[in-house]
Amino acid sequence: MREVAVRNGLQSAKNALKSYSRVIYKVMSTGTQVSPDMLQPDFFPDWGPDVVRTSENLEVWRRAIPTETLHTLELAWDVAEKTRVELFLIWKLTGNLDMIEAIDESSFLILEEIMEEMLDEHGFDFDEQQTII
Amino acid sequence: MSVISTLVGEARERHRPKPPERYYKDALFELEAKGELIVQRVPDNYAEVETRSGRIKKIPLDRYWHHKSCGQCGHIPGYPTSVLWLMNQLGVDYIDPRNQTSCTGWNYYASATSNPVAQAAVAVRNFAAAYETGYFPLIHCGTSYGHYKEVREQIIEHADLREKLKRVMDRLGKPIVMPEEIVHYSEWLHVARHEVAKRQVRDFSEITITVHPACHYHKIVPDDAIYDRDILGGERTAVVTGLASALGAQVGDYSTWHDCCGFGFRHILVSRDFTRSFSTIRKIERMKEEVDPDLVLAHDTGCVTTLDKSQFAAKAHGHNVDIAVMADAQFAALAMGAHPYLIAQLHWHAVDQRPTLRKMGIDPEKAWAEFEDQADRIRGGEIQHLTWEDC
Repeated sequence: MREVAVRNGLQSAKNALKSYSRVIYKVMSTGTQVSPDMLQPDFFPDWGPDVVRTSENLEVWRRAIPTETLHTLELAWDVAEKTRVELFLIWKLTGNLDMIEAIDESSFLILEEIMEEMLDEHGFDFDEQQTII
Repeated sequence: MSVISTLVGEARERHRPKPPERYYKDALFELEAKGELIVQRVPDNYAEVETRSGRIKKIPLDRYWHHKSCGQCGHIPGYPTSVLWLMNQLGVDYIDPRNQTSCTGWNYYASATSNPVAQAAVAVRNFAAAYETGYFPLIHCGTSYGHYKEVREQIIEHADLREKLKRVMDRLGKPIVMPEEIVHYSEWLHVARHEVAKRQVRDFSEITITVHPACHYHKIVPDDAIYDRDILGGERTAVVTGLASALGAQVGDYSTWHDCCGFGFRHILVSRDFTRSFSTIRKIERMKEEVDPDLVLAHDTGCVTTLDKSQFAAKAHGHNVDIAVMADAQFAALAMGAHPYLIAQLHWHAVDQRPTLRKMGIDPEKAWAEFEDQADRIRGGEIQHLTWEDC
């Protein structure tokens, strides 16, 4: 039911997801749903008082992890660019991007621009990637 | 064996859940024979364990492709770092890939801004990436593990979904791949627990723990989860409890063991007050009053996060909380001598872990000073980032 409400851009779905747009943007643009730079007082303020300390030390603390793929701030781990291109193709081909347009036009416009640019860099014409399902 | 224990054993067998009539492996192999997909076989080196219904599940012992977790890597990075550190110590061959996206399942269940074909495409794209390397996917996140099992069921049961999925994957130039087993890291840790215990350097006999099992592990497509007659009578999943026992910790039982941590699938995002109340009043307070443990062990991203990051609010309201929370992998790594901040990265957790660390024989102030020394090397430009050799 929720999926139908989103697909049809119902106002109730828009209201319910109003505060959720940053997570949608994050997962659709990077391929990871949450990221270290969300740990800041104006994003997850209710995750405890330690969030302030974490956000102040974020850059150094992320580099103070021995796992090489975790030296990131905007992504949970370092996702290869080619992998993100493939994810963008999935979003476009399966109609996911159309759903975002119906529910949150401002996020859609930003996502469309990011995806168009990266697909173009990798030899894909964004407008030719029509929804196929 | 006494008559009573024989009767109890027979009764348990009678009441043991029957396996689903259609075995997913048979279905996958049938689809493979028809050329509809590729089944990635478990590598030759594996352990056999029993599932809830007594079926045998193969758990690889080597050659893993780490399917990382957004919440772990993003917010509690000592969790995946401990998994990799354990494998380094045990000599397990693995790949930590960049060619991996999130399962995106959490977003789907929270916001519904996706659809089943997209979800299946994301899953099989990741599985195809693992297949290309020859390494076997190891799922770090409980949500991904549960979600992928549901995707597997949908791919098996719905020909129309397979047809649409094929069209998407053809455009990506990739085959539809599904692994023979969907394996959670805590299952690998469960079968490796005796190897971990052999290398244990810290005494945990004075540590009392409670276990919170992840709903996404043992309730979604439940027949995949590991059960063992020698652990909790074979009536509850054996992972985590088996590890804690092997490491000599005291495992306390409590009345809301089966309950969710409060994370739900979407509640933590859209009904956080409900999540927080459930987590602290229904889980943490019950543990505190019935067991008073030093530590809660969990084996999923959402559970560790919810149980850890909800307590400060309940504490402010005078509730009986304050229990340290860790993942089983961090606990195992600490047992084998891992550094609490350089490897287990406990400074990313919310509840004060220091009393528990002291009971483990660790000096947290000294350990933090060692971490700060390394951080200063980064701040001063001496090194760009830490390596395994620095830890």
